[in-house]
Amino acid sequence: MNRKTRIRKIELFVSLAVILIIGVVGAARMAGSAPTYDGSRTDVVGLYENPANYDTADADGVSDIIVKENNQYTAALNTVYSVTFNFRGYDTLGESFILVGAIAGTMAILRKKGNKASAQAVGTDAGTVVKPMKVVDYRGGAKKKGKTYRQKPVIMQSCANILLPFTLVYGWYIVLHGAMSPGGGFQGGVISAGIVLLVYLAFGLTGLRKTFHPGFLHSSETIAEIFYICVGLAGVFAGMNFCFNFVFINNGTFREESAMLMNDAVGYHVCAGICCLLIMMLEALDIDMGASDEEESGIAKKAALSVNAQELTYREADI
Amino acid sequence: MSGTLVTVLNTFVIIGAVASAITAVHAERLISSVLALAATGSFIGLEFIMLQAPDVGIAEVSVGAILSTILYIIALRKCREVERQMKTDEYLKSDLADSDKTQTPVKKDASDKKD
Repeated sequence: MNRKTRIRKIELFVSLAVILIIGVVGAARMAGSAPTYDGSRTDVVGLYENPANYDTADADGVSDIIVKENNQYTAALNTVYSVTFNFRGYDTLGESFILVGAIAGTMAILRKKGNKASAQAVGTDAGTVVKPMKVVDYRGGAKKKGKTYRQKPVIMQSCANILLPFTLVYGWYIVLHGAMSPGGGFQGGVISAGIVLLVYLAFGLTGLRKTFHPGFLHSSETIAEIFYICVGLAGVFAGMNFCFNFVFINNGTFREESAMLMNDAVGYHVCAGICCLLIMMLEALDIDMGASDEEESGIAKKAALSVNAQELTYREADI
Repeated sequence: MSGTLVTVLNTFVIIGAVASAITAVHAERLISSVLALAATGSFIGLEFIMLQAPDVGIAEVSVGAILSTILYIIALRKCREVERQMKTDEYLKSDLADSDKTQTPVKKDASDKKD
């Protein structure tokens, strides 16, 4: 296909040239324009009560104003924390809603009716079905009520057995220390949701189904979201704004405030939500009892040779 | 960090991000595109950390380079599985597969009717 490769080369060169031209022109314009921090007084935080209260004579832009006035307005430990959960707590709530929407959409598409592997029955005509395939026993010998499982390599099981508690502790360390160190709810939640992958790689889909329950995870994720909203509304009922930061324990060493509660709620929300999402996607794969028995792969090879490959959408070499 | 070192590192990271993004569009196989997207996300995460925003950097790397790559790879595996199933179905329905067909249907037990 000489014409196709020529068109692709022309496309590549044109896109590179466009990026180069836009980049050079943009850089030249940026170098010639005024700097962001020019030392003059900025008035953007006038959306709060009285700009005359600020002592921002020597402020260096919006970020400097937020840093200077952070203690006065939110009494939070960390500036990024206070912006995420107090100044912009509503935006964080919207981000949590994104995750809920994504999981609801995935559920609408991928939710299965039962817990059975549907890869056993092939073909719709009466009588022309493939024989149910033989699989190797899980744990070498123990059959449970007629169900046999594919055995995963022993090294994966051993490594997962060792790594699971460390992963959970590391992920929740990042969630709970969001005020002191980089991280927070979202990042730590995604890291602790990696346990689903560890269990899947080590014990297969059957182990995953025994360990987690996606309905329960979805419910607990919703409860975490409601907890976030309630903590945010506590300020409204006290006469302040939504997501107001109130410090209710402040000993010398231990400090607990509402931004930390919201952070933990977001961490649990993200962890449960992404666990639910990964479980649904992995259940759709359903290749725990799939092809690579001898009969099945033989049939698949003969089928691959006989069927005209151009009729189907994807070529196997592409994927 | 000195001025020139920062400039050099920033240049390399941005060039790497643009190159891997172009690779993601012009790659031959789908899985190459997915891995190039993971590389782009990692480069941009590194740039965020160099701009002194480690929270955003960790979020970018964990979501863009790990989670979305995993979801894409699961979807591609499912496409391959569906295609293999379609080929097997067509082969069994055609006349070439007389030796592979059997007359024993799959037994359906009572628990199949439950939701």
